[in-house]
Amino acid sequence: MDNALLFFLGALSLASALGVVGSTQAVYSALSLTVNLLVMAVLFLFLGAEFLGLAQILIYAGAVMVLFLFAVTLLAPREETLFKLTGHPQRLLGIFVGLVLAITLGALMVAFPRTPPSGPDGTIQGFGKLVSGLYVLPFEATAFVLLVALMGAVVLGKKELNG
Amino acid sequence: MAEQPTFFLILSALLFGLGATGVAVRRNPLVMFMCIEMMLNAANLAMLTFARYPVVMPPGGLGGPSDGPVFVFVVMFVAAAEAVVGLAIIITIFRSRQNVDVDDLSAMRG
Repeated sequence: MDNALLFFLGALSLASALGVVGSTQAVYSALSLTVNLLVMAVLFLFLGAEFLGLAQILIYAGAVMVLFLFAVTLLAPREETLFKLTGHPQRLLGIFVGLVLAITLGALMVAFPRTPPSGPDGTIQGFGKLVSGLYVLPFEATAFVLLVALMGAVVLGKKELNG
Repeated sequence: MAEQPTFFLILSALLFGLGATGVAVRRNPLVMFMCIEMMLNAANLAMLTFARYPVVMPPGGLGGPSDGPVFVFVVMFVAAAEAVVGLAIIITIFRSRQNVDVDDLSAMRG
């Protein structure tokens, strides 16, 4: 049961990833990405990271995807002509590079020697202990990065940059 | 079925490769951004897998294998910040050019 569900989720995630890369309309890409991110949240739950699974739904499938859909509908980009590979050698090269990356990364990661599985404390309690203890400085830096991004978006959104 | 970490790691590598292909193949900066988000997510999946099924660590490190979620958390927020700034830049470019195609954009200056 668990295995069948996992394989189904994996297939769904790969299919939606193909949808992101292969749709000619940007809106379809955005919707496929939403499916992909939701499936990823479920996979996070499978890996015992409850807090991050929920954060994934809130941050990605919620905030980031709303932003993406907003931008896509605002810009209304033209339909792309995909897969006209003749005259675009860099596209064939891109597919090749992606394949090589996937194979080498997969082989590399699978080849690591492993200790027997020890579940991490993926609950909010263990996470909070880490974030307020050893990793308090990176956590604060994350908050600072978000503040800078906020200010950057405001500056970029102004009508006149020199005004 | 093979042991579970293999499944997650191969899925993560495939998603990363697909994302890289998308960045190279697509010409629409919005879709390229989506592919980058997908690659970051694939990396997150790999990190959580390594946190769950730890590898043999060299001695003397500061943290432990259970710290993976913290890194995933940081990557998540950096990705959100990157999406905000990137989309703001794309919209600004669109406002001045009425066209978003990375083949036509080779310089950042207006």
